[in-house]
Amino acid sequence: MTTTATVPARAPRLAGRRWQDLWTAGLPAAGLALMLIVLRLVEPGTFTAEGMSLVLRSSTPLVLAATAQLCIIAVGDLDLGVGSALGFVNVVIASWLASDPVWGWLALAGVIGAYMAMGALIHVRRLPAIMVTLAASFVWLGVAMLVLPTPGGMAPGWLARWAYWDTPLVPLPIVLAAAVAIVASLILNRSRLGMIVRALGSNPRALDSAGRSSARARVAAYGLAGCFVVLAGFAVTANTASGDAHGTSGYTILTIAAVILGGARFSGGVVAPVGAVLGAITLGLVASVLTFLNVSSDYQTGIQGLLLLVVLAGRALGRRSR
Amino acid sequence: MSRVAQAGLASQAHRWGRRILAAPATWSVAAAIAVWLITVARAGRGLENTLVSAAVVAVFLVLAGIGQMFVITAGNGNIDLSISYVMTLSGFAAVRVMDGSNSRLLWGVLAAIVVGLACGLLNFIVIRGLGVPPIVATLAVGFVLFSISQRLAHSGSSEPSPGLTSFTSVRWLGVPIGVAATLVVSLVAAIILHRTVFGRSVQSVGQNLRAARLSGISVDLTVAMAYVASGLFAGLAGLMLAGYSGGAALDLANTYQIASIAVVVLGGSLIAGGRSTVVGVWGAAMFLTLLTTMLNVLGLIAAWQLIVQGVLMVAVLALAAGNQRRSR
Repeated sequence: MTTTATVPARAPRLAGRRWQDLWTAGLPAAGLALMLIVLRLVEPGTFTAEGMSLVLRSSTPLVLAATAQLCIIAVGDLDLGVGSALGFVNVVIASWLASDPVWGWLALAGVIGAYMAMGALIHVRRLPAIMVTLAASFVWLGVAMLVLPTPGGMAPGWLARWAYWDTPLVPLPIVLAAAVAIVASLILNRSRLGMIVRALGSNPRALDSAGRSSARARVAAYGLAGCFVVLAGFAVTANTASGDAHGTSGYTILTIAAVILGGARFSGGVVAPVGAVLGAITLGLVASVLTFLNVSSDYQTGIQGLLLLVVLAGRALGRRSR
Repeated sequence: MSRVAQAGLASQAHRWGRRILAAPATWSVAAAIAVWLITVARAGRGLENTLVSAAVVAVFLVLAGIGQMFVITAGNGNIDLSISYVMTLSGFAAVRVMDGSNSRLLWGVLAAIVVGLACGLLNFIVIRGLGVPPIVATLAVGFVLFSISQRLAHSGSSEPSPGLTSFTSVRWLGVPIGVAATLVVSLVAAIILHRTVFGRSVQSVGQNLRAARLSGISVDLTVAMAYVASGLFAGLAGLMLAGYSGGAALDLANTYQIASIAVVVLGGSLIAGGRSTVVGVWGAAMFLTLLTTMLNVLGLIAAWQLIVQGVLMVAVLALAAGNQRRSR
């Protein structure tokens, strides 16, 4: 019991910390507001519950996947395999979960187990996380192709019903995004587990001297990420209503962009679940706005890149002026 | 021979053995040799033939990897995710300038080099000037470069000059010219890394930023040069790849974004920076290329090929990391 007493559940707040919080949370929020204004000007028709639901539906998988990436970034690592892992979950849901639920659920539990094993391997052998997760992405893709060699399959009936559930007042994608943000904040920023995870990211030596197992913290962070990957896979399958091993490879880079847009730091320790969720929605909206504006697809990637730079430059300016 | 001398010799051999085991490049080179021998045994092709045809394809990865290596050596989170986009853009620029004629070959080569250098400088300016973390900065710059490549791709097509195409395939004394040229470039890169002030500076910045700054090294200049070097190597790799594939395409270099990092780390360079090896880059590039050949020869389907690649990558990594730790 003495060890727990030395580690308070909440880190004491330093003066000015609140402003820092506000700035990190405010910037992605401002970005989102800006995108909403642009969307309103470009396509006023989307500002109904139904329209919002349609526009935001595509960003739900990214919201969940970005939260998974956030858990890994929290310990100072980076997951380059999240896109392929998502593809595996997607094909398992679209092929096994309907036909063979027992094996389907076991495989999904296996994803979480594999993430934890990956965390353990990285920790024990002190391997660079980006290489292990990259190698894992090969394995995910290969196994997914074994499960479902060509795109196809079908989402289980209950998932399809859920995906088109008309929530009262607020559209479902917004409810989901808010729920993800709240749950992730509670786990990462308010719980003891989250504090240990963040401590591993910012000062592993202090964690060790506080008598905590840094191995357990890393495994927990990876397990948490695995859970969010599985949830993101459900969201992907609900949107596409089918399975495709290759369909989600682009998510890896997008999740990193969303997390950074949201204000997390790569060195670990500083995480912003709300920011990551807002960042993911913003990135999704950028794609919608560009499509509505009839911007040639040639420029879309470039504009997303520029937007990323503008936001980050803004944050750097904010840091410097203080 | 006296027993003492024998014991001395044995301990000498033992020491040498340990030194080889502890050398960062050993595991990637050993893995490459193992895969090479298995391929030869199964395919019944010549030892030399297998090696040379793998090397022809591996050189693009070697060039991209050496560029990435300079950036990674500088440590402090420095990494270049724009390499694949720089390769694609310089490939397009070179092919556009050459327009299928040998007389404009040199101008095309120059175009690729200029594009590479400019992109490297742009990366550094964004990182330093805007204070953006390298991993995002280079990615965002890459996105912008990709848009330019898309414009070039959709505004007509051109062919590389015949001279460039033959450069990558024609052999001289049994060695493809492209491979020989890359070997020379690699040697120069190794000398730059280990023997010049710039190379030593990059390593010391990667080992300890504060110590490097206190010892009078211009950190900004050093890191800038690392990114410019990365751009230059990516430019050359894109040029040669465009020549090899008979033209530039938008997906020309997709796999090199991640593969360039993989060869650096698998080769035994530290991902955190400070210590790197060009030999390791060669070993890892040959390992990955020969691995693809071997899996094809063994007749595995694509899915199993991916799984085996992933598992073997982790295995080589775990072996290399384990032995490095013990040697310290």
